[in-house]
Amino acid sequence: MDVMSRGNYTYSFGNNKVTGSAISNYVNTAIRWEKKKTLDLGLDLGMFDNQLEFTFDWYKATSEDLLYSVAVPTNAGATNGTVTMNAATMANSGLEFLLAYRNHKHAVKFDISANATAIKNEVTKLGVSNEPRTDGVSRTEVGREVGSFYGYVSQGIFKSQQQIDNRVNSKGQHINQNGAQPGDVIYADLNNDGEITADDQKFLGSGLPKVNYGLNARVEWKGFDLSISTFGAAGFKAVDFVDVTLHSSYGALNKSVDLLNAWTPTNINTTVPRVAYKSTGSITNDMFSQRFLQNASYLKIANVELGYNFPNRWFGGYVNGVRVYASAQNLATFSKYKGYNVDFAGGTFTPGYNYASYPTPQTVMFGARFSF
Amino acid sequence: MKRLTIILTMVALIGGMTACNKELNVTNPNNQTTYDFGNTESDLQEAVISCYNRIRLEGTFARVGYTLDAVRGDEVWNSSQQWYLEYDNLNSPGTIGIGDEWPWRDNYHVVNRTNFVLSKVDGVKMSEDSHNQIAGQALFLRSLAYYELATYYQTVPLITDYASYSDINTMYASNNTQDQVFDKIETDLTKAMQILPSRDKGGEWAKGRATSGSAAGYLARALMFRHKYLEAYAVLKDIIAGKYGHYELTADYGDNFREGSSYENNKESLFEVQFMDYGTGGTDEEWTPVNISSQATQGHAVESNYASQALGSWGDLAGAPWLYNLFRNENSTDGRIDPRLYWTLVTFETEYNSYTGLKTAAYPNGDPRTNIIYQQAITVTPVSNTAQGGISIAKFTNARNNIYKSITTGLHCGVNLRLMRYSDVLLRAAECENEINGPTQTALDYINLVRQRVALKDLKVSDFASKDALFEQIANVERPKEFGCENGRGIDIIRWGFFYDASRLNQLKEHAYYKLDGKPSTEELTSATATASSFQYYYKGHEYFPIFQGTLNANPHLVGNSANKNIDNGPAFIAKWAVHPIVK
Repeated sequence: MDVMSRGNYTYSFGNNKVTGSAISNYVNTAIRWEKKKTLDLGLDLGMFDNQLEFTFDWYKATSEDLLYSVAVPTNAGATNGTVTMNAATMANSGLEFLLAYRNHKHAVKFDISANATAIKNEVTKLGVSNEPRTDGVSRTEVGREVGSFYGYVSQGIFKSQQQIDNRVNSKGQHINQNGAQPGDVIYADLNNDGEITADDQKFLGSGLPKVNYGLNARVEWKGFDLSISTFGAAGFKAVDFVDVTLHSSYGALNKSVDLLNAWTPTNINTTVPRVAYKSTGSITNDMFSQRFLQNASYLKIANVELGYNFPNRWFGGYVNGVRVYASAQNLATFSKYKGYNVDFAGGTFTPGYNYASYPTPQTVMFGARFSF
Repeated sequence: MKRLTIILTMVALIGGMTACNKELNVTNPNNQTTYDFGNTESDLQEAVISCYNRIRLEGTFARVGYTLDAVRGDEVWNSSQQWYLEYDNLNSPGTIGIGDEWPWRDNYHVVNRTNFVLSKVDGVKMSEDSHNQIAGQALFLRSLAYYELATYYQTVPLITDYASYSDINTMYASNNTQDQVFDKIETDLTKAMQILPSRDKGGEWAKGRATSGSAAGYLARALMFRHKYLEAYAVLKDIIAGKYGHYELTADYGDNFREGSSYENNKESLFEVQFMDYGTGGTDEEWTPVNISSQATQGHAVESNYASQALGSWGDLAGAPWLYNLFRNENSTDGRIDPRLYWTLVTFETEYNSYTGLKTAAYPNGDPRTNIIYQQAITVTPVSNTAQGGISIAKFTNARNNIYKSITTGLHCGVNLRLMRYSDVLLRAAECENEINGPTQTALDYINLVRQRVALKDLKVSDFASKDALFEQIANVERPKEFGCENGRGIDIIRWGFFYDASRLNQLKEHAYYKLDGKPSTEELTSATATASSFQYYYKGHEYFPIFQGTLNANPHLVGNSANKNIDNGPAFIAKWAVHPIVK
């Protein structure tokens, strides 16, 4: 069901205007809720009087009838180009581990836990005809995980005109890269046809972490307590929109200082490609290739809190439960990722693509709590 | 007690709120839901108007849908050498929106709206007359759309059930054969012909609504496309006898190409697409099917393509020098130029200056011909395209109407596009009679009616030794002069098989010679004097337009037609029908 306007279709008879109405959009009357079917097998173990806890889960979750924009074919005679339908299915399977140890028997009480989750994702149905979809630098195909990075393969930069002229592929054909000049990025001829075209692209990496993990600890001693919680992810790549834009070889937008070391005829020994006002060919230095992928595995110290609970007898019954504390959020992040915010939220079909997400701040708080 | 008060208050509130329910249930009259549209007779009358609206789109008849069939024929060529080039040269690669996508897209809009009406009309309580009128108009308009689709794209999906729109899987439809589409067209038009009122009913039925005459006329066209001459002849004779309304040739041939209430929807017109006269339309140009506006300009852009660029048009389409010379080769009985030249092509002729106001054979009440175009006197022929040259076309422009000085560019011209006229009924009847019985007096009587209107001398049976000789006269003399530069020539040369015979293809090539010298040359061209011919680039299968590559990519069930795949349609045609050999 859709909404429609009335009286906006015009015609005339004998030059007298008449108006009519119609259902113009393609309406999906069969729209329904998304479904998720989960199969979970788990094991919870508590040992040594629950001091050591171990949890293990294996799950397979199939999300069916996912809402997806399906293209409306032109022979439907509709005014909308896409219609939302329940037309995609995705399967996520994974393992979860939790290992925790607590010891409250001595003066120093501590809890430590570690957890890890490994996820495997696969798209099993996409749209009406399982056509792959491309969203910027990510591509989703049936049988693979959602939104892997897809692009050219770069192989350094041309150092000289001779290198451009003498480049041959495994069949001995000269490889023609349209518009290439010394200092430009070399792209691999993946399909071995002697031309660098849109067919020379492949899947370059995944934006979905292989493992998500966390380490938490809590220590208490004589009224002091310290808790640390961390989380992280490993085994994925990210592309940062700000980084890609700052490293663009063309145009007049802001540029990274790395480009001061760009290739010029006098600065030949560099890995930074040539810059120019605009590109001369259809194959440019800005094409998406693995040189823009960053290793985004990280560990973030999410929360540290140090507090002291005053003994109640100090306050003689008027005030109780006095606590002072200092806590810090987002204290540190260990990662090779150079952007602002490594635990950004990518898009549904573009996981791993950081489109200038707002960075999370570091916060430090001091507090005191009293109960009357 | 306190508790009881609370409970009583709650009960009162709940009771009060459920009673209010009806007040809150209001439908927004500006944005109603599609759920209950189409369940009353007035809703369906509105829906029928939406079907008419869709034949006024760029890809149906407001511009390219109309002109593409003219430019793929031998009467019109692409003087701008762009925009229409691949459709003049019949070699589109399938990636150009103008001809590969827009007519497809826009005609399927007509199909969608008509399917909606037809799916609902049986379920709504109304009088039998209303039911016949609503269903009949929807059947006619759907058949019109499929006729365009099948003659442009050959093998198109045949979608006739609105229920199939609710499952998008059926929308990813596969092709049907051209025969399947034409079978459906014939069935639907036969029904429409029987249930629609005729134009004699008056009111809107004589002002543009589809009538039984419209349906009968298009049925004859559909039948003749597949050489069913006996059946077509029966329908045509019924139209001539007045069974589907009274039709007659207008006294002035030019009345069929002018705007204004005294000319439009006249007694010769079987069906025309309505456009609003100059100065009466709205402000919004509905260029794409998405721009639906209650303030639409309701004009067409054929003038922008046909008129002279020297006078301000886009200068895209020009008349063939062959057509000009065909007119000049035979004069009216008083030795004066055939008036149809005046109304078809814009040329400066010194003779016109001496005709104005005179009582001539073609115009016994005073000849209207002058050398005044767009309210200005001309002394030379204005050029179609300022760079390449060519003769501009007068039909469906206001060149001869002289109601304004500058050419409308955009969707602004108000001349109704007459899609079928009574003269087509007569010439088709002659063609059928000739196919069945050879060159008889009956056949010539039909043709002579059309010739007498413009004071050309009558043809005699003794002039035509054979069926082929009369066919040649009809195909390459009578029809081009009567319907020059109109939509329909492309379909004619396809149905006659001219693409599938080497000598006929050569003849088309000769008709379509043009010169790119920047001048409005009218002299007869030969292979030595011409720059090129529209038919020298023709590639097999491309008498039809390829289905847009984007459409094919998106739908795995859809395969290309003969133009996508470069398949010669000749053998299939020759297996069923013969091509008339040329008679000099």
